[in-house]
Amino acid sequence: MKIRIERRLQPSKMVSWLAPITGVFVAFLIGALVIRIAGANPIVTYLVMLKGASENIAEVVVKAIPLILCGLAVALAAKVGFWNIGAEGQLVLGGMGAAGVALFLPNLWPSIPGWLLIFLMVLGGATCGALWVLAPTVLKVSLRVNEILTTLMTNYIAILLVRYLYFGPWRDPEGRGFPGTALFIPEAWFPRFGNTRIHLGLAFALILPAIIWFILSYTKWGYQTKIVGESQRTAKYAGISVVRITFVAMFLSGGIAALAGVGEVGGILHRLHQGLAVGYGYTGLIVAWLANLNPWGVMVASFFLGGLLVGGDQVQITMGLSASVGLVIQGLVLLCVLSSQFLVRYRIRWR
Amino acid sequence: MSRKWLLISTLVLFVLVACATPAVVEKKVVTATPAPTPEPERVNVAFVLLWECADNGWTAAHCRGIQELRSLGKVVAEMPNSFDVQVPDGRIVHVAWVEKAGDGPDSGRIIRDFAVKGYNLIFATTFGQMDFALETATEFPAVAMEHCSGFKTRENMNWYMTRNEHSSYVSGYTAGLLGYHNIGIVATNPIPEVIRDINAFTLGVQKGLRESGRSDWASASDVTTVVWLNSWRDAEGEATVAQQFAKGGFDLIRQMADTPDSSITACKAGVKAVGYGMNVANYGADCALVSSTWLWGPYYRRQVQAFLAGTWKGGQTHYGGLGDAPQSMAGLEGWNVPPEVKEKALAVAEEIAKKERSAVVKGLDVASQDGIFSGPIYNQAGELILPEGKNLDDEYLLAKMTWFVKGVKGQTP
Repeated sequence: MKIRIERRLQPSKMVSWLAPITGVFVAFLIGALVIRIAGANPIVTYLVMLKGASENIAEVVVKAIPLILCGLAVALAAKVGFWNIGAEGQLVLGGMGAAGVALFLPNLWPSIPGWLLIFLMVLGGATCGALWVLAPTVLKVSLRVNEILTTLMTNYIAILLVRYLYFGPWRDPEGRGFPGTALFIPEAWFPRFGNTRIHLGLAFALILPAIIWFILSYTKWGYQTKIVGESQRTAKYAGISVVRITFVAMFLSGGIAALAGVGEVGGILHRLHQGLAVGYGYTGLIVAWLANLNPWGVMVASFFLGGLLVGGDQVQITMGLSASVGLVIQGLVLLCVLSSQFLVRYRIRWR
Repeated sequence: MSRKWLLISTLVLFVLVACATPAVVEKKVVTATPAPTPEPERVNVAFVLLWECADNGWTAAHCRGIQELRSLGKVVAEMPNSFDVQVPDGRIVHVAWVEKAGDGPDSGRIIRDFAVKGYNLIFATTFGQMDFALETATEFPAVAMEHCSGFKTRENMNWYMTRNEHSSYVSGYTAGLLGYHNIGIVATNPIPEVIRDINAFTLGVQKGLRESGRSDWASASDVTTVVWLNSWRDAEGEATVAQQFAKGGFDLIRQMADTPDSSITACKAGVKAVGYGMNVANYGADCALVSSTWLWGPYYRRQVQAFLAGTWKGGQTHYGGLGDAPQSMAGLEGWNVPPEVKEKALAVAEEIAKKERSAVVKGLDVASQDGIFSGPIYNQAGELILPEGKNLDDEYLLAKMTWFVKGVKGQTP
């Protein structure tokens, strides 16, 4: 039997959707091996995870909100040819912006209406995140500095900056010296659905992918963005301002990632402390690639990963497996999905 | 062979592999329960752990405490992350725990999940879980919530913490008696809890040095030197700092992190150590003089028993040290010093314990009675903060200690 690898003439549309799914499938296969080595039955484990996630759909949604937003931010940036590894830092800055408004604006304007306070929290957070990605964008556009490195570095700076704030000037004076800001006033708590923890962030998580999809598919700017992403030279020949398109796209990307932070801070944490930077920005990378950079795919992938992690909790108690099983599978998924991209450009022929 | 066959054969292989494995871990019934026809009443207790039981530090100490609940009765069922204990009156206490819950939004979900599933008594074991515990306690008023190392309470929520200044003082005293006067402290986060721990340790060292005739060393301004890791656990950072201390000629290294790496590194570099959290000699730091540890078992037993007896009360703050009843919450383990030194140290420990017990009985503030933070106390700049005859109280210790005593070389934010 001979195996030949041929380059496809045209990346197949069907395979570009089948590939991530195959990747997920293979990841679960390898994960089954890992689970088996750890001493449990893989099928039962996966069923327990499924049961755990389906019994706790509200929490899967809560988890999916920041994943959707970060995934969307990364996908949008990737469309314009920019690898945004800085979603984590932008998320943190978004949380910082929202916290700043929530902590200090009510003191300056005690009778501020609740909706306005929340609106300004969102605006403040999104602006901070958008500005945070400015420096790496400028460096890339003007000096061709690799944005993977710069955006990654800005993550550490963001986390340290916010840490300085909640250890220092913003520390809760009633907090017994523990790091963290004061709890926000109740008006600054994002409304929640029923008695779940699903918060206002869901609105952004559902609407923004639709808006971005619409912009990318049906507007002139969206079209230009995709061309810039495919080939900057072509864009230049077509008279498209690569610089302007990149800046606008990155501004949006940073703002969207920041909204994830705004949601976490306003809807779940209600203060700024070390529980904000838990890695949603990095998981957003997995989400974006799993979704093939498609905004709708981002929603599906986020729910999938959210379910994986929520279901993973159950595995600990019922199966006695390590708490890391969910994370291991998540990593395998990323690895396999990225590898499966190979199938999009090449076909395997055997005789 | 076409692609379709490859896919099918993979699926078949997967199913075969899965089916070849044994079924789900069966609930092992260790002893037959007595068979009255109504199911014995169950009380469900949950623990939400920061990290894993194998962290050899903070969470390991909590896990040790959890295991001590087995002594409440007869263990009748054993499962991976939980066990059932049948207490003398026939009820079953189901004890479950989740590791690596962290202290972010995920921990909030896990705490709430336990409440939703009908757990009656939930322990949140790290500071960062405080607000999530409070939220769940507010949403589920019938749940008894216990939170470790925080400061918020509610009518159905308590906070509990060890007076580790007690065990730190005694371990510092031990080091001082042995003449160590150039001690490196691998510290964690610059918050009052850690600062007062360092202060207590230093005051103990100074007392030990004075009693062994080395008052000149006791009055030096750098008896202890503090380096902040800015994290509760950072294995590489701890090892690096410990190595720097060893190279820099320090004679003793005091661990304060959740993992024993600083102590292990110290021993490897030939410098003695004082451990923290758990007995570090069990993890390879066999040169350690002693470890100041957390003993959560007695508190957990007491609270579960109170719940069973219907006497569990919320809104309480439990801050217990060497004199806590029925047993100390502050541990001193792994003694590795000459017997006369150990005797002296234990005598000081007993003195502190007595003072704490009598303060509790009289309803007095323990910190103002236990004799550790009693004047005269100077700060790093040499100013007299506490005159002779005066004492600091609990409130000050918990909230306002943001400065180091004279003898500590290091910065506070």
